[in-house]
Amino acid sequence: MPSLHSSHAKPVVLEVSTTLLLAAYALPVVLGLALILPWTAPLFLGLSEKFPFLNTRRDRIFAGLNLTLLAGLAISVQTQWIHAKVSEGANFCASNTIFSCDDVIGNANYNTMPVLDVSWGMVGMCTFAFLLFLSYASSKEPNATWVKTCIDLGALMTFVGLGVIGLLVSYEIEMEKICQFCTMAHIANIVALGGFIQLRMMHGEKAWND
Amino acid sequence: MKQIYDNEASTLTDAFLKISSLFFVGILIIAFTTNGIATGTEEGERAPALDGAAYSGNGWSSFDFSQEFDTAWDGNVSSDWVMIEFMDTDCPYCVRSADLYGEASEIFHGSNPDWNGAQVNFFASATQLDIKGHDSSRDEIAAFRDKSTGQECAGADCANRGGSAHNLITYIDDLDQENMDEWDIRGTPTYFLIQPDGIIAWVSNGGTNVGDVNGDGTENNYIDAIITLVTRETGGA
Repeated sequence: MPSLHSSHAKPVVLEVSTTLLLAAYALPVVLGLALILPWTAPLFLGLSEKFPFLNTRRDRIFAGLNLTLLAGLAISVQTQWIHAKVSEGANFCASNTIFSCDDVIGNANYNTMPVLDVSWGMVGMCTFAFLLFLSYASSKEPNATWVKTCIDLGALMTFVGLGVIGLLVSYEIEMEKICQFCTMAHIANIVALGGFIQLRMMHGEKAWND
Repeated sequence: MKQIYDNEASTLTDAFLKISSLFFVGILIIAFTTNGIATGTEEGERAPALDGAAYSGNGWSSFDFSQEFDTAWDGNVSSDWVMIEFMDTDCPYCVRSADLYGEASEIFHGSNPDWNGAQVNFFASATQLDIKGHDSSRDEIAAFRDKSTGQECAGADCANRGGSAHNLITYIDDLDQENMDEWDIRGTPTYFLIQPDGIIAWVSNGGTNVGDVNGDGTENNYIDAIITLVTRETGGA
């Protein structure tokens, strides 16, 4: 019986737009990482006159975290959009070789969360939205009583996210395909974990109110 | 102190509203720019997965139903359609329909010069219904397909069923009824005609457009459904 699964030639314009889209998502994540990393302060101090929040380490981490989580939310919307597009039968990703989001997100055996049967894109949307809420609310009122709880919860969620990332990467290895957008969301989670851990270490210390 | 609490509450509410807005903007973008198709077993829905080992005459092997479909199908005649029968080798109605099902698999195959439509690949998901006397096995399924002797199908030797061996039909082991449950099958035989992109085009029962597919005023069977719906070189679906 012949296999009916054909490979599709993708228009070049879509390859370009996918690359641009990936770059657009990568930019805030990289900038967020730079803001979160401890040794990058000199890079931003020059801009602190125009952007006062770059003056303090705490506010730089919050800014980086908010930026990264916002990008994570946008990427999750994109992956959920791909999920919905694949279900309507479209085919639009950049490559039909190893990088293929439609093959990964369109694979009915792996594209939903076990037990709950919710698409991974929707899981990402809810998770990043909640993390962004925790981070954004804490950044607006950093000395409020609930900030410690928010930071702890954020750190815990992004740490648990590592397990989910491991599971999803194992799926990709099994399929021998990589979804670029999913990978970008995974990176955003890891960067966010770094941010929450640093905030956790700073909270209650003198550096918090410097 | 009261002032501090008010500020904190305001911050949480403000952040919640802003992030919720972002979330729902994302949902709205998805809602307005996609037209997702639900997975289900009614006409117009995407066929669910079908798991289990498959038998095509050369032993049982693993089977990936999704490989049968091309999600980017554009209506061309070169992509194959799928007909699947949910059956039980001990069900007398399935035994009686074996002759026609086998014949249909040859008529609508690409090797038949008289058929000018897309090839239809035939499958049968063989289960064991919870009915007294229904006692199936992989050997029995293989005997049913191959029309070979030594196994009993609905009270008679499987070799005595009508028609010839089903050389063009792939049988799937659903003895545990997993596929039957997933596909919400209420009885056997039940037939599904599936488009090359995996969307169910016709269901013999339980669908939204049961029966009369060609508008002749009578209840039609899967042969009528194939002739009416499958893409043809001279027009067709």
